[in-house]
Amino acid sequence: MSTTAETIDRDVEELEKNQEWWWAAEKKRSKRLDYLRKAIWKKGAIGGLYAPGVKADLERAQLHTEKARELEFSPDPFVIKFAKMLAHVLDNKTVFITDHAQLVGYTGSLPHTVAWDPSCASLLNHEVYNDPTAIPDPVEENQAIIEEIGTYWAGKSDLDKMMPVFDPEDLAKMLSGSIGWGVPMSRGGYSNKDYEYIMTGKRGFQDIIDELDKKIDELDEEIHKPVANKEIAEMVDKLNHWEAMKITLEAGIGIARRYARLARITAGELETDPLRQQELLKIAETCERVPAHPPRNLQESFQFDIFIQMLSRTEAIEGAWPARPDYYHGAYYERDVNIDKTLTPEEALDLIGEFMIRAAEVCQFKPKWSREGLQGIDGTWVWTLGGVDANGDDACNDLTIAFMKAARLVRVANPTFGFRWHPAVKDEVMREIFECLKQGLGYPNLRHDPILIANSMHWHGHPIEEARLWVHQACMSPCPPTKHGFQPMRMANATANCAKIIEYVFTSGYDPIVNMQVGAETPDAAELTDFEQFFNAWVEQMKAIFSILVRAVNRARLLAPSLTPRPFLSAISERCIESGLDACDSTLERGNAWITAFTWVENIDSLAAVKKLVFDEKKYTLGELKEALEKNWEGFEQMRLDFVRKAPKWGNDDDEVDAIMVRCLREAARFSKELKCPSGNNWPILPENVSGNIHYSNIVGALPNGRRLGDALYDGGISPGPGLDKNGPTAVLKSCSKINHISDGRAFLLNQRLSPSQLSGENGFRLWKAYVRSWADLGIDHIQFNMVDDKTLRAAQKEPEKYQEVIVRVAGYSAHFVDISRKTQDNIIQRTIQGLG
Amino acid sequence: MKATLITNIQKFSVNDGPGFRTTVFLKGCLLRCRWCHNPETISSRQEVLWKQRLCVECGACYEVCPEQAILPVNSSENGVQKHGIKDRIDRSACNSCLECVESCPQNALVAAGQPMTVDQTLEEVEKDKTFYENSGGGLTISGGEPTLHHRFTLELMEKARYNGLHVCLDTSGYCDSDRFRRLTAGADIVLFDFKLMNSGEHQRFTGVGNEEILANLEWLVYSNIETWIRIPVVPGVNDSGDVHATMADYLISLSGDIDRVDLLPFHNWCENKYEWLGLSWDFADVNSIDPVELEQFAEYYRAKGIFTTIGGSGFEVN
Repeated sequence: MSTTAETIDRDVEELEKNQEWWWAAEKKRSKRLDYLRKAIWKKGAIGGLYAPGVKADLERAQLHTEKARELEFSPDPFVIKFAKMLAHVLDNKTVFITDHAQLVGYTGSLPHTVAWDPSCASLLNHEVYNDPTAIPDPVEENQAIIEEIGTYWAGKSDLDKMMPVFDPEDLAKMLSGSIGWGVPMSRGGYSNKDYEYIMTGKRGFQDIIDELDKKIDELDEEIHKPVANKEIAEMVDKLNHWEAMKITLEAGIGIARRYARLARITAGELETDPLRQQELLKIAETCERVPAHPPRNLQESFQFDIFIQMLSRTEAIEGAWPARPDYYHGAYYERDVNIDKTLTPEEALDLIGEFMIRAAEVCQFKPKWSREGLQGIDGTWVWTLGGVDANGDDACNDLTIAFMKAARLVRVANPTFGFRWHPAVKDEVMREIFECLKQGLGYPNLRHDPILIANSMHWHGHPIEEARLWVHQACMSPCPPTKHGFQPMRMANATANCAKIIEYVFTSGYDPIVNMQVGAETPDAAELTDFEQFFNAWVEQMKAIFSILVRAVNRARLLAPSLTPRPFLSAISERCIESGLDACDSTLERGNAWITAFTWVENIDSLAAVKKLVFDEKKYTLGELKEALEKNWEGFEQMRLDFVRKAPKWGNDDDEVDAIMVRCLREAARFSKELKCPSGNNWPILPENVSGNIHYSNIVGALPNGRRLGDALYDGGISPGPGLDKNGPTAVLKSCSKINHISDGRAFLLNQRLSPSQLSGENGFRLWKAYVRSWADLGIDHIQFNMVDDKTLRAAQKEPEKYQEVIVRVAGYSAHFVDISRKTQDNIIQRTIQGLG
Repeated sequence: MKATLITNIQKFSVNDGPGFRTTVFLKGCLLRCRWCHNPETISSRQEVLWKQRLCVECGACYEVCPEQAILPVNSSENGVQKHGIKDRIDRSACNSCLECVESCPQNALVAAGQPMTVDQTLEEVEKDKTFYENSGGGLTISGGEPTLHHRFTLELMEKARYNGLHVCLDTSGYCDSDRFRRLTAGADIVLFDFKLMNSGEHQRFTGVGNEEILANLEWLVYSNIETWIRIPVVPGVNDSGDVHATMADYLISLSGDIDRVDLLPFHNWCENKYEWLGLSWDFADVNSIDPVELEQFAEYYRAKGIFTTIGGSGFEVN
């Protein structure tokens, strides 16, 4: 991007007046923060490809493979072999410290690299080999290395190991790519953590190791007593898991010490600036302290958190970043800034901003379909702010506010914040949220705390004290970070492409895109004679699709502890330290599963159109409609326009169609309780899209809402179709309020665009607050605001280089507008701008 | 109660009285303000809007029209030419049966004005109660001219207030005084449109003199009914300091308090609406006023101690 002298000269006030927030932030943040913000590589993929210069990291893959070869014929059980592979990677990977940084730790070996774990899935390794832009120079030489690594892992990767033990029919349907998204793996998805165990300042890794040593000694003695039985036979597994956990903890301490040593050497022998020398020594001290021991101050607390994330991301591909930073780091902020005054608020902002930047640079190599679905970012890292504590009291603190201030200074698209709103949130906090939204960050989004706490208790039976501690496990789903509450891995493949439900009603479950029978063999749609029959067919298809996806996850969860264990994740979980079981073992987890429902609202508008035009008005027959859909509406344009324009649409406070939404959700909710996870708990649905609406546009055929194959799908959750919400934002909220957000599903994503001109000044804040209060009164669990106007977006399309930092909410996450595909961009612009008198 | 024609029930209105409001636009007005932003609300009859941009000239409307008021697609005349405006509908022949609207697959033909009863209207308005409660908002009855439909307006106001809704009445003040008094007494706030002091000028730009209007305003202020004066500032009509100095003097001379003045900057976003009606518009080429330009005029009112806004946000605090 160009920073002309003229731009820099304009003062902050004028920049803010012109809503040029990025340039204003650049002037407002410290020099350090400005350097650090610009020193990271943009890792989010642009239309499926990594940005120029960003390369796959071969170092980790080589180290991992090296150790795997070495251990191939070792008598170690797999979990210990795997722990040793991780330890080998951590002991030998390149470490670096970014100039001016106070926090260290990165998943790759160099700042521009994308970490590649070759042991996850052969299909991922194929993608690395075939990636036109991400293979590092010299390409041919490295391609040979990639091939060699890929060849080694063929048949040995997690997914290769799992494939033969899945049901082959379900597997074929799932991997067809038409109904699901992602694969069922314990090392690829969204893992929550037992933060109540590891992030409350009570223990460091060394404390856990000490405890493990004791347990191992005791158990070892037990096992070798002069007796033998089934219980003793099982104890050997425990011993192995504990040993593996210990190996990963020791490796974690080891790599921290290597950072400390690097910092000391740099300070002593290379750095000439005395101030920077002091900072480096502070880094050294910090990394000698954590993660071995619990943190003592804010810097150590952030560093501890980063190490945990880095280690977890070395163990698995993490597509999310569940966190509640104000809650778990707040006490350190309070002590350092307000009580001991060892940090000024400005110094603290530097640390907080850097903490966000360290997260923003993280990236792990992912397949293209995943990059397409998450355009512009590496994952959906929704950090949780606000909310209540275990007693139900307001948990907001000074760090809550500081995080929102820092976010406006660093302006990253990932992580973002999900703010847990409740009636006792103070106005000063609401103002910070408003300021973030007004400045075009697109976050925080708001979550309705009382509703979601009740929802967690309803669906998964979490006790209220634990439900109150919830964090976003991925974009949307609450999960308590507690001993029995945390879900070790949400496997992404329980993500249903729901538009297929209505599509299959017309094809009796045959998928014309992938040419196979995927759904249920429901009767010929042309023969159905009333809406109830039609709706029943819809229910059958819904059940069929959900079941295929859930069966695969259940199977994977059941096999994970033995086939694909998570020793590091286990090592920071109280239940595993106590029991010697792997974190993925479902016997100790309460169960927090959900089915993500992509492309959900198409069903509602389609059912409403069929009901009105076929059964109520009898303008068309189902046979005609079936034919029109088969022909992708070609030759049926007048008819298609009727289905678009003469049928009611969701989101207009129109009971006729809203009732269909509620009915569909309640059918799904009923079925959610028949589906069970291995813990015996329910599988509620969660409508949201991320960018799946674009990914699926060429996979979903013609639909009765008038959509043709290739048209973008709606942008998600329970948001109305773009441009179809004609009665303004209050009507959208009213429609959404007809859904019971506690018992009709797990959570419901809602996008709203508000015009920035309406939200200017003190009037704007009052307007927004009244709107939020109404949203809360209506009992809606989620809302995210997009504050960027059409003019800006059109300009950004024309001159992307000038609008690098425009962040737009795309269904469930924020991305830089210029990074997303033209199709997604158009889709965003097409969305009705709510309001504007 | 007979149904009355309503052109729009606009939710999330934030410039028509305090808070979030639902504005009900009644069809029909006796004034002919030349800058009118809502030309579809002037006539008391149902009308057909032809949105040329959406029209694909499929001819469906031509086939169903019982009065041959729609020109055929292949007509060499290329539409009815009136005042240089292209129109596909012969308005003088149209009987407002709306068959054409029903037949249009593109939604290019739209009816202006739907008959609604008070109860139907109220049901729609009450849907947003939650928003009113959180913002001090409510119902605003506007138009057109609501006092023209005095029975409907009175009943709607009474029922709305009985159900706990806050009601604003948006009026030009051009109304028989007895009727005006009865109607305004039923409103929580009267939004009173005030355009010009000089009656001759008023006659020239709106088609009527302002004696009756001023008399009604004087009574309103005297009666202590909460009154927000709304002044559309229109280029070439009332965009001079003198005009506003005189108006401010007048307002302060009234025997009672003016609660607030909203200066509403002229805009030309309604140009399309005139085209849809087959009408020409004197102000089609006049640029919108940048709201900040009204600051100079606002000062005249503020100097007299009157709380004055530009744009009339419902979230301003005095």
